[in-house]
Amino acid sequence: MQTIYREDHTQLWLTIQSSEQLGVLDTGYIENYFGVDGRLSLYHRATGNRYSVIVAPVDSKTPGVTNDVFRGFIAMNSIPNGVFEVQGRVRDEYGHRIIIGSLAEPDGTENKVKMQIEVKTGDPVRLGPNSTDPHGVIIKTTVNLR
Amino acid sequence: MPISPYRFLNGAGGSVNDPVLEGLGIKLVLASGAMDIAGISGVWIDQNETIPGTTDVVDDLTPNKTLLLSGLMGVYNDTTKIYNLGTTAGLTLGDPINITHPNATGIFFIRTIPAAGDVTLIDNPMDGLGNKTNIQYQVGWRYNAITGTAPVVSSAQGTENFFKVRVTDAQGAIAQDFKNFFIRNTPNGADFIEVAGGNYTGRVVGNREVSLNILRNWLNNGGVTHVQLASHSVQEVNNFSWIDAGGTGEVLLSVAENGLTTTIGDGLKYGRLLLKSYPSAVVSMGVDISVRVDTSGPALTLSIYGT
Repeated sequence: MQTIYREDHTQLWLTIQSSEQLGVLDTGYIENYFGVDGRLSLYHRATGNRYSVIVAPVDSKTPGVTNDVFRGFIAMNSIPNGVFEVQGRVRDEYGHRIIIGSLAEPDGTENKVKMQIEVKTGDPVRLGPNSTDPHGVIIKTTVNLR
Repeated sequence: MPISPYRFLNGAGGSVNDPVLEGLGIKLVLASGAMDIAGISGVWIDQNETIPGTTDVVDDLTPNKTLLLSGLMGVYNDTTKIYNLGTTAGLTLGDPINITHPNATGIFFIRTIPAAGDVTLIDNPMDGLGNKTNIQYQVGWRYNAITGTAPVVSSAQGTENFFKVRVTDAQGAIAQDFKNFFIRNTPNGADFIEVAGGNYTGRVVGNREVSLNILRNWLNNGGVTHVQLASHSVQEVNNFSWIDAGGTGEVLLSVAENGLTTTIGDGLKYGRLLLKSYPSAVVSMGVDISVRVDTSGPALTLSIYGT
């Protein structure tokens, strides 16, 4: 599970990357828990609330391959702290469907993957003068920085 | 003195729409139905029917044009499968023998020469018919060619080639004849090799078993009768085997066209088809093939960051 600290961020960005080009589910390449195209759901486990994140293809990330990377954001102040489960569904061009987390109306034939993130208040861990680096280093705990 | 060139390659070659594929090994055979050839004046391969022609291949015949072996003394032993011709001097494996007998008539090729004077034949016409005598025979003469390589010309639209001969009998009578045959370049994409219902490279399939069709629009498959699998010429690997026969060895076209199985695992699969016009042919037309096998869903990764 990946953790992101709020720091002074105003937006939480999510990127879903597929190992292959995605195919069209019915009318879209990706859909959220309720089957809405072009979105993913963030399910807040503590409250049971779902937050919708609009995602769009980012073809520049993998030149020559389209519809394999999707990115979107949600305002930080619209979501609480805690653990979120990413929910939605995709498929590849050959009909192999993958449920991300959970889905309101699954076909029953999909494979499942689980993706969770945690949102926390505060800053990343700061390593001060007592660390092995005498000058102190700030290490970001988020991954895949742009 | 009728002359009997062996006309078509496995039925193919009779028209521009039923051509022989370029790149195949072929034998052009001269033989006399009357078995009375006493001299070969010329053999030509051109793209017109004029005799004499301009591209004379008479000195490239095998056996040599001066070997005029013929007779009525042929004896066949059905136990050993050996034909005794009295002499085999000057003959080599693969040379044609024209035979006439109530049990078998036609041009056959030497499989082995087990002893001086003895031969066995490919596709033995008298196999299982008992011992035979008084087999009339005369050697034939073959010219080994590769379709599309001079003097046999190929083109994208199909080229009409002519195999032309002029011979004399013992009385000095001259006979000449020609036969035409069509050679054509490989068509494009799936019309050449159809893999998994489409082009022979780049298809993506959801199953490890993929269909195969060779020269699907050519009536006699371009003369191709056998197919073998080999390593891809660039990737230097073969990831295919035959569905029916297993393995990668040479199989009949019908077996090949029952499809291919890829090696276990998703991803790109490479191989090469060797198209042949007769069993164990040294000359073949090779074509690299590839598919991407995708039997499972995509692997997904999630990344997050804040701004």
